[in-house]
Amino acid sequence: MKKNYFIVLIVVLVLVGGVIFFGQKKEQKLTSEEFLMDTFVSISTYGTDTDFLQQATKKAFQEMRRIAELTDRFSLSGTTAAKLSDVVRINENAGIKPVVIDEDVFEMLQAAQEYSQLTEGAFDVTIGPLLDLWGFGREKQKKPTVNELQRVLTLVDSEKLVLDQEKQCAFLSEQGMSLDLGAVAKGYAVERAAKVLAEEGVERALINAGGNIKVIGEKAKRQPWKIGIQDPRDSSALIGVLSLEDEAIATSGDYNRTIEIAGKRYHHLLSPQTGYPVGYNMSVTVVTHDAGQADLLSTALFLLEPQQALDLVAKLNDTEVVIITADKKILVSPGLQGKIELQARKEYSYDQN
Amino acid sequence: MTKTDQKLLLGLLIIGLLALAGHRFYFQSQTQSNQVIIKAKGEVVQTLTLRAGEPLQRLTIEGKKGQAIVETKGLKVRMLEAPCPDQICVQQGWIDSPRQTIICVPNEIVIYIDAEASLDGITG
Repeated sequence: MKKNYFIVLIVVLVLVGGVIFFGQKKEQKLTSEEFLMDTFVSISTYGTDTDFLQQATKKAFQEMRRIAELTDRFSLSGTTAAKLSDVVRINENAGIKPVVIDEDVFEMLQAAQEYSQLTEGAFDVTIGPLLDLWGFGREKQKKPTVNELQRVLTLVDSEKLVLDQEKQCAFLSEQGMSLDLGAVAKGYAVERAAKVLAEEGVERALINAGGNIKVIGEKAKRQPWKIGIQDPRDSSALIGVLSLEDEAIATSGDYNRTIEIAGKRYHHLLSPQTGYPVGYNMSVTVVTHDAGQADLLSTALFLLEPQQALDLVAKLNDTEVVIITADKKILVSPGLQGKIELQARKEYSYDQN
Repeated sequence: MTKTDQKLLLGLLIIGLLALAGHRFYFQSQTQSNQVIIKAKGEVVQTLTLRAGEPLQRLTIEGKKGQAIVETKGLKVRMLEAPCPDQICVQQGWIDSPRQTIICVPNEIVIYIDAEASLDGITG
């Protein structure tokens, strides 16, 4: 009799155990990737229902594609007038007439103008003619002459970008001016994609557009997402690792998008004042809630001297920064201390300020 | 402790061991190798396991713009030739650590060394 009880007990235990082990729907990770906006974009979502995750991811990519099409500066050959991006239309009508644009593009331009003022002109979204002069994004590159620079720099001026909120219009007031949203659009698109995922009900996700990253929720219960900051001089090494949840992070570095002219490398983060690549910093990483702001600010702060950048960050809400200066100092804003685990190589120095 | 108790304990122990074995099955210990994944036009086209000391190996990968040649040697991998205009992927040279990637945007090829992710992403 006792033996029977024992067998029944074992059977019950195994059954209960089995239900607990296998009955639970397994948490899945779904990753989709696409080449968009001149970069590699991946979206990873977590949940139990993969069909639902797939649908949500598809919508997020659709939204990113929409932003990409609105902001692309180079129109594809054979594009019909109706399909030209807002940025191409604004540029083509520079000095001619204002152009009605999409509200997302308007929002990006407003933000860009705001940071142009905050950085006293160091950041400028009307940098197009200068990038073209150097040949960034073009087939041929060359080092501009002083005369060429002087001529082109008069065309780089955010104050000549006129925005009309009521009519949702943008106008570059001088012929030859052009916008480049390279420092704005990717982050903005990541933020829009994150909004789409959140609206669809995705609770945990990571969107990565070439280092412009937004995380939604936590990776798992009480487990934040771990994001590494690349060493600017060694792509296999890290400066440190940040633990993030519901935040965005972006980096601008002097090692990205470079061109080589006569054996010398030049990066694309150009000064609207001098026309040359800015050399105060090797990289600037920004952590904040909005991915669009993180993208824009990482470029804007890169263009400032380190102390000036830290001072500006101190004035902004919910914004933190990691700066690797040209002389290999690592500067971390106060709000990140405790959230960052530094692991930089010996040649970098960390000054706890 | 009665005999029944002993049997019960033994039963629980067996269940515990089984659960543990199952767990181990999922999290196998790492060996000295690199898992390289090559994607072209959005699809995984090659998965390679690289081991230290292995000889040079070349693969032809069909990208969006044309053929690229990927080379592996020991634990490392690089883009040897690519039909892209900027040649950023070729200039990057060898990669050999689990967090590294080679991305050729014009030709839509991604080469990366997979790792049981200790990191979820890299900004840079």
